[in-house]
Amino acid sequence: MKLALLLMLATLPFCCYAGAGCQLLEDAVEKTISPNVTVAEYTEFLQPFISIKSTKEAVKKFKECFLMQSDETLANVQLLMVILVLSFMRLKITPWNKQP
Amino acid sequence: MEGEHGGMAPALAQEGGLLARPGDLPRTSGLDQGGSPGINRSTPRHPHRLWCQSAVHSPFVTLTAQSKPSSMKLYLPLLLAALGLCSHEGESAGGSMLSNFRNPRENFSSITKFLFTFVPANAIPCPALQDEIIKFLMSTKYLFKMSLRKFNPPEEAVAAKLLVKDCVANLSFLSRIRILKILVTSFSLCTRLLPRHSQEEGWPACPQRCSWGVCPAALLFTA
Repeated sequence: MKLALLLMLATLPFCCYAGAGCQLLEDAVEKTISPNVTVAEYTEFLQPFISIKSTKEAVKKFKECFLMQSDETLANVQLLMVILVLSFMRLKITPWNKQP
Repeated sequence: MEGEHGGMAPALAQEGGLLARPGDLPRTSGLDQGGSPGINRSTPRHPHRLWCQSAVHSPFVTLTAQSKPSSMKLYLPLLLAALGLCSHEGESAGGSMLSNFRNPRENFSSITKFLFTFVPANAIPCPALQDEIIKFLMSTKYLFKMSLRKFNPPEEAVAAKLLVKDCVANLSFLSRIRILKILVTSFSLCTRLLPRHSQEEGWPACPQRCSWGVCPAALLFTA
């Protein structure tokens, strides 16, 4: 029983962290912004959702817009996404707080 | 002096409490290592069982001490409930789980996600994030900047996002619609929901609640 309790406690940090509520969406946003992800890797990741060739071209151009930017710009974009998700988590805990 | 009255016997659970029969084990002899007559100082053969030591010769010896229920048994279901409620993955975990198994380092994380695949506790995609993606792709620069104001972000973060938006604005309207279809509608299906505005008034994604309960933008892609 003690071992089971220990395992449960060890599992808690893996599950209880702030997030956007949809891991797939989080991964997509992260891969979109990340300068380490190439256009080919990005299109491969989104392949299940790409039905026609024109969509693939649109996705490529979209990713290129991010790759064109400097690392500093992309770091700031990433920061904005973090602020956005964390503000959602804060408001989710206390949803009665009304926004001005 | 023979330990006639002593001896250790296994406890038997009876209605009136825990009872023990003195005749169940061979009695011990004499003064064991300077102790009182009949009390065995050696380790019992079955340490996991509750034993009764008695110097009273009687057919039944009642144990007054009742065994307390283990609080450990209470912790486990509480922890399981906490894990279920905390798991923000919910049903969405199943979507990306298979890809994680390719990487052995992420196996533990994947197994954890798999365990809570059917616990849709917080499995609603962040409405603020979805709203931001929609406005980033479809809205004007000014309106997008105004929508970010409510999060009170640093100026350089807003400027960086607007720089990228300038590039995205060069894409055709149809291209942006296709990207929006992937990033908003398709990924929202990991919770088997269309991207809904929150029904809570305080959430930043929904200044005015939709009367339909579904984002109008999402209706474009349901066909």
